[in-house]
Amino acid sequence: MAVSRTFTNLLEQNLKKVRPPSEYETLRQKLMESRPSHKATPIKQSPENSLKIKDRDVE
Amino acid sequence: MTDSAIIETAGFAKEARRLTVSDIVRIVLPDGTLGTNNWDDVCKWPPDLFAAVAFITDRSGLYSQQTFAANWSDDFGCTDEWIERVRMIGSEWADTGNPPNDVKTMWQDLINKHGSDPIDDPSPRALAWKRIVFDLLVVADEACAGVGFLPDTEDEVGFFPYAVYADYVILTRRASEDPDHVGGDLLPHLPFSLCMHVPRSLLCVQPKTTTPSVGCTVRSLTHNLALLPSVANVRTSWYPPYDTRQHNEPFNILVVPFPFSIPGRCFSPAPNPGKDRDPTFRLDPSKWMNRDPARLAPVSAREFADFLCGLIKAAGSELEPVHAIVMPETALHFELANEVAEILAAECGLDMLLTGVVSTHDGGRNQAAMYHFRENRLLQRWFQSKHHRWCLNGDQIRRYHLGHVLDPHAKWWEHINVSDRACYITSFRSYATLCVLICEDLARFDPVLTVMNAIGPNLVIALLMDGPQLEQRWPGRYATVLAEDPGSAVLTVTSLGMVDRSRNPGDPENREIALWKEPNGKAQMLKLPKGNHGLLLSLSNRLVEQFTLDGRGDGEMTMQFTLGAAHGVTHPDPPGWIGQVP
Repeated sequence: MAVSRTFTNLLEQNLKKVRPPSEYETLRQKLMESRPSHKATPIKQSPENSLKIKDRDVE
Repeated sequence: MTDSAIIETAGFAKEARRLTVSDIVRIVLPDGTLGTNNWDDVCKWPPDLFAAVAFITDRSGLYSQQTFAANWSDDFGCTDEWIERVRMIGSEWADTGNPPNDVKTMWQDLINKHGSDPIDDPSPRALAWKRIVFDLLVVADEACAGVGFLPDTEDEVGFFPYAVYADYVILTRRASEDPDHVGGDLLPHLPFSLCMHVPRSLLCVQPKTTTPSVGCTVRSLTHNLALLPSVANVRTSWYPPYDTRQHNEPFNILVVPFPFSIPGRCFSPAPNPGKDRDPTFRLDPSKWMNRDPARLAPVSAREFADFLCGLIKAAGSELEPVHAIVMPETALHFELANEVAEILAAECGLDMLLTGVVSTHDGGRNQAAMYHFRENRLLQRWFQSKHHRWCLNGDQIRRYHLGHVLDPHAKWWEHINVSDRACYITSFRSYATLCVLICEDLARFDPVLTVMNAIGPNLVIALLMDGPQLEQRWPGRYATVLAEDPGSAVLTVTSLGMVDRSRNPGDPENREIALWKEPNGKAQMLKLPKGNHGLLLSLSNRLVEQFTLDGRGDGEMTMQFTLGAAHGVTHPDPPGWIGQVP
């Protein structure tokens, strides 16, 4: 699956529109501390899904 | 000879080791509940806790006991008071982001008092730990209400839906640069699993959208979280919706049953795999793309896109807008589909294009291609490979009149690569998901249907290369199964070309190019009117309440689709290359 930067921008805008939970950053930070220290290995998808979407004029 | 003597003779002097509650917890969370090689404290992340207790629930089968599943039974424990209590604990976790004391106590009791209890114990003694596991499962599910979506609300958003959505922003930023990237900042396995400390190669947890109203399974116990197999078995990708507004207007689909005719030579034998092995066949869409004998040039993406845009325009006299175009299995070549999608994105104002494609990569793949658009831009694109090969036997070869290209005495397998099994969940409306199946996959339970059943997409579209879509034929039967459990609306779509190949010369024409089945509704066979090129379907939606086996409602958060209207669409100036449309 490929996603575009436009998609990311839309998700980001949605997040800005809502009221975040109180003490969100503090709680998230606490969870980040217990997150696994290792990165997850990328999964090589089929060639069709690995093609990047070319974004046109993304602000 | 006594039983014990037989056992000793066979060399089984000792009782076999039985898996215990702690064993399972350590298998599911191998690095500990918090990643510190310790299992004494409860998980801070509800999907991790859910994974552990749902795995125990599944393997022990505890949910089938009277106390959890029989509200007429004297020992039924899921009373209104119990529902109120578990809901309160779940809400507290959702509001504060911290596991409540009740959850910590339940976990400590489970590990300290029942850790060594075997999970296959059917005796009443085992009910003590089973009740704890059940309560923890329900609390984790309640804590994750709304996960995978973002509510359109002026109120404060719950911690877990917000944290997950925020991590998707991070994931998609990285994935837009590298489509193979996995993980956000907080959740290392996004978009394949919501878990933090549970290996994705063991199991995955994803959001879900439908709770089965029949049967008694672990799937019947939750509204918000689904237990799924390992990514090595089948990889499910969940992305949240980009549009979080609540939509009440219908979802309009234009079904284009292309190709309208299929010459037999589109089926061709692949190089012989060797003596004593079943032969294989390939499908070549380029042989049905141009049905105009006077034309030599191949059909371009521009021409194909213009044809589809013409149909969208023609549909406008009945209703606007057309949200999606759906075409059957193998309708286009992969490269052509990509180019057509680019043009449609820029010019047609569509939300999505879903079509079957044939790809020559990896030894050949039969895929469903989904292109998701917004404001004339491509947002997402995925290709889901078919999981099971089509096997054409003598009966089918004769039914489709292919005996001149494939020997009907042999069993012919579709020459495609079925590795890299994936299932993509497309959130296309707030709280609505769509999954796609390709032909044979609709009829084979493992592995993709297990995923469908767990997640419960609101809409399933099956792309087929099949005969008429009659209720009594196999697609109708399997669509009915999905409409019952998990309760999805199902649309099957085939090409007019294959429908036409399945009749004997001189027999009356069949026109059933699609079939619609919705939960609690009759199957509807959808005919393409004579001379038409597309079928415009308008799906109405409504929010309904669903209930878990233990009696918890979801507060009318489940979207159900109903077929509200169907109209034939005729292209005003059909191009010659589509051939004669019967």
